[in-house]
Amino acid sequence: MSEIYPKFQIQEGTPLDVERVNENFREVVQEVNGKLSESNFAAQTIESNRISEGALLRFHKFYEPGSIVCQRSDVTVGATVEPYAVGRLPNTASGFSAPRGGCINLPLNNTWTTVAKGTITARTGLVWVMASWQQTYNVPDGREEISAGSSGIFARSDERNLDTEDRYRFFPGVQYCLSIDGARITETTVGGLDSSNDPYGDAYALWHMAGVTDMIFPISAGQRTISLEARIPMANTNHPQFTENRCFYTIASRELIILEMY
Amino acid sequence: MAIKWNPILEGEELHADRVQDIGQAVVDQINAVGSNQIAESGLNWENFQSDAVVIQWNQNIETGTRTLNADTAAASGSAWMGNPFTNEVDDARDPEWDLSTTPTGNQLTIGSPGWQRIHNLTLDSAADLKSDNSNSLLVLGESYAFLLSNLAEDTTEPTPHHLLFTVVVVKAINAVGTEVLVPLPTTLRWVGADTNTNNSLPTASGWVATGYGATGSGSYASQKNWIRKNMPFRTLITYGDIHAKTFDGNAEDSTDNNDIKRVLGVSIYACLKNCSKTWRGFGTKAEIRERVLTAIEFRAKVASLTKETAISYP
Repeated sequence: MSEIYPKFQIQEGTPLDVERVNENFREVVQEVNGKLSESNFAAQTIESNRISEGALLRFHKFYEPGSIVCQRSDVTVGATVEPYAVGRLPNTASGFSAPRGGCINLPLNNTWTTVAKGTITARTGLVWVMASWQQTYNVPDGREEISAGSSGIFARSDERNLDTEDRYRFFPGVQYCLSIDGARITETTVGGLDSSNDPYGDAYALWHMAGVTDMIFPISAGQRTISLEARIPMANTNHPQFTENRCFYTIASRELIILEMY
Repeated sequence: MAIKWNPILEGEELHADRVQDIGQAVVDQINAVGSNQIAESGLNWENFQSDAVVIQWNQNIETGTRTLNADTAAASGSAWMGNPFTNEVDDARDPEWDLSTTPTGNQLTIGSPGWQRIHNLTLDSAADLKSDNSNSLLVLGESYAFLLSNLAEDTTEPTPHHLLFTVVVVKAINAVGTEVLVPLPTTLRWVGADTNTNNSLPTASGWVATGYGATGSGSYASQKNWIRKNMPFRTLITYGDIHAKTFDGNAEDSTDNNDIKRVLGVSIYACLKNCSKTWRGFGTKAEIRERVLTAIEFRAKVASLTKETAISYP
């Protein structure tokens, strides 16, 4: 609806003409019976109690508090397992196929895994999507430099020991991104293959990491599935294959917030 | 509903009432505009009063360094508390986090060792989160963990694992009118001190420097004290996220229309844990620099809340 100006200026003292009066009203009535827009309302006049619930903003939230366990049992100084008390690392699984409540383990197959997902019935407009998560890693049987094992080789951290079982030190990092209806939004990708995420650029990987990524994205009306995806990019074929039986990344607590804005 | 439009007829006797009736019909229509009468994307944020979508927003930025020390002299049972899922006293697990829905008492253990507040944001006015989820508090924040090491600065410690945890804590008013701290399990975040074998670094391990083949060489990586890791989070706090009784004393999950959970502010709490050596033999130290907390109270319906698994709170 456009702004309306009376078609006829009826001056004081002028005889009334029916058509002129009708025309002036007709302009208004036709417009009001049409679609109203921003030009029909004065600035900051629409009060909150005149807006139906969810008309302007609508939230959706997917959340998961991933369970972790950190054993506190003491280790005596000089004990065999000391100083390798890895049992007190945040434990998020009892094996790759048995994550603790709420946690998700990331497979080593170079594919994307859905970490958090929300399906909404949206109107045409903008969505502000925010994802927040905790990444950690798991060594189910505590092989982190604990014992020599049957091979007599400790888990080494130098390149000459890449074929030992505990080579998870050379794990690549994890990539994350948001996706809509299965289409990943490239610009939201964080994390990566190498150590460049690390300020020193020399760590093997960011094992424990808190991450966020977000976007504001236009969507059309309909049912939309928005998700947070994660994968371990295994680009370096020079390294021997890792195995999920030994170690893997895990996503613990996480939250996916979707704000529909109209 | 459209306006009934009866034009004035030629020869019709025109009274003021007739004109007013037409005008009143227009006024009535404008005062009861339906959503189908608004052009799609036809309104602008300037049309709405400022509290139509955002009730309040607050931000606090801290740039000073905050140092945390885990007490090396702590007795067993009192260190590194904060487990969101179990009661440490019963399960001998840490960090402790005693979730409770009783109307009194903080729900995490505060102190050194224990959880310590590293950042705080007090809302301009209390946010009353409603049981019908018609409002919510969006909290965005981060902490920049600069240093994470053992207290002895022993960089030759083989493969150390020091962990720094942070969690968002809501300061709520309980049923008896006192403040109570309620942590939010989905916001539990932690970072560790990364390790490396690059002996050109100031934190290089002596184990590595001696070269492969010598005692201990090549087997262990040294920690990186200066971790420089950001610990960001985003969380949407709703009525159901606060595991405490309602402001007026009803049960935590009460859905009575008038039930609210009153929030005065939000904080970031942190605690340390040493996973290497004896758990209390080497205390842990952290330095946290920039901290940010932003809270926006929205007048926005939370249309869906989805959670995959059920965590049993103690």
